[in-house]
Amino acid sequence: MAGLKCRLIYRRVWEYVDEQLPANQKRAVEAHLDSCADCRQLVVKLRAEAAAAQLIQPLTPPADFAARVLQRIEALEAERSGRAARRAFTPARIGWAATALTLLIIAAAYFANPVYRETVEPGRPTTITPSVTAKEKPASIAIKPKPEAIKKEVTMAEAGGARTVAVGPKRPARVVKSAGIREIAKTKPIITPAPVAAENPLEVAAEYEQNGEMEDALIAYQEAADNPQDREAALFGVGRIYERMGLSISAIEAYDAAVFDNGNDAPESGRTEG
Amino acid sequence: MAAVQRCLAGEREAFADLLERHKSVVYSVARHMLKNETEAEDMAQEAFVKAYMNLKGFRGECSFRNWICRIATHLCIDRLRAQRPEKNRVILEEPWEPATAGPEEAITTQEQVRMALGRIPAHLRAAVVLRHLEDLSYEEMAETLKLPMGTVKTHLRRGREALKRELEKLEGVGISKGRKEK
Repeated sequence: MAGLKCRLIYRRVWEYVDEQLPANQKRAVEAHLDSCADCRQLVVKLRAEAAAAQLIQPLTPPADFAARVLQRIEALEAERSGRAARRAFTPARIGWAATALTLLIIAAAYFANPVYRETVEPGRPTTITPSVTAKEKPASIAIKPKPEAIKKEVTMAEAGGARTVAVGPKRPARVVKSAGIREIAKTKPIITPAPVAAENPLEVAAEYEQNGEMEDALIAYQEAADNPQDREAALFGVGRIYERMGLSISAIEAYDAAVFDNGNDAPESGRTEG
Repeated sequence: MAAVQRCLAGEREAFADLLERHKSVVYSVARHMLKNETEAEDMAQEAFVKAYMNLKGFRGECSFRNWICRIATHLCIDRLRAQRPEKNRVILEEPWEPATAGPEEAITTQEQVRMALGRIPAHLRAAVVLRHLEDLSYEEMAETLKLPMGTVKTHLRRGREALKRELEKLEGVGISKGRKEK
């Protein structure tokens, strides 16, 4: 079974092959390689894989490639300069302006409508005031609230349909509004688009574990443990992997770290069972 | 950088120079990332057009080569993401045939490499191409692919394993074919 040092090296050996290790770590890996035939064998295997990837070389593009690019650029530039030269009042712009003006008029008419001028104050009669002067008509309609909460239907076109809000003597107007928002939220849940899935080390680790790739799973869980949010789950994962690898002491250590997390690093290597 | 400055000063020939110098690597990135040749050429052209239009945004923090390769990579990644995920993983399903029916020497290594790359999943392919064609560091790869560095390393490792495996399979086909004809 690989010893402690081998497992530490295992995490760095790809970077060593890719020459991406800092000098001190590189020396440490080389010192270990001098004394470990298994790790030397691994390096040979990885170098062979890297050599295969080194075969990827630039390809020759079609002969007219550059000409086509320049053609596209010229076409774009011509379009750009033509656009700048055109006057501001193109039919399309007039169309947009007309649409904007229409929308503005609709919005103004919408907010000028008396139905939407609602005033609700605590302890006072609920009043709906149309936009007429007192001289024209005593248009205020007073609704005396009962001691218990009164349910009053107020049609609110801006909410996208009819809704019911509770209006009572103890409720200030803003509470009524927020209740309305909550109600809308109940009927119309806000759907946010799911973010583009970035690969989470924890998920990667779980995938490896599921596929039975224990060493990869172990590395991924150890990386996931660096993230404070995933630390506990990752440490449990480390423990599980060690357990499956038959390294019960290391497994217990990992479980301990998961339960009594004191900020130490994830256990990095399996301890040889005595 | 001098060519870029000349280009910004309005010298069209300077961009033609840049195009001539980097067309091969940009085309190769697209060709290795996307399996469809027409699509790859289109993406490579698009990368140059985009670079030309955004040349003012190039601050010289990296080489022009790296900059335009990244543009090409992003375009290809976006194209791959727009396709169905399973389509990305579809490998050239038709049995691989060398372009010329002849002895194994006639099968070019580049052809084999391209075919082998086409047979590995797109996310692993992207990591291998970024590292070995564009020569990006792990940090640059993570930044380009918008993935954690650990994930990028894993993708690169698995990608190289898969590439070697596929190359060995293809070499097997080539050798057996060559022997038959002998």
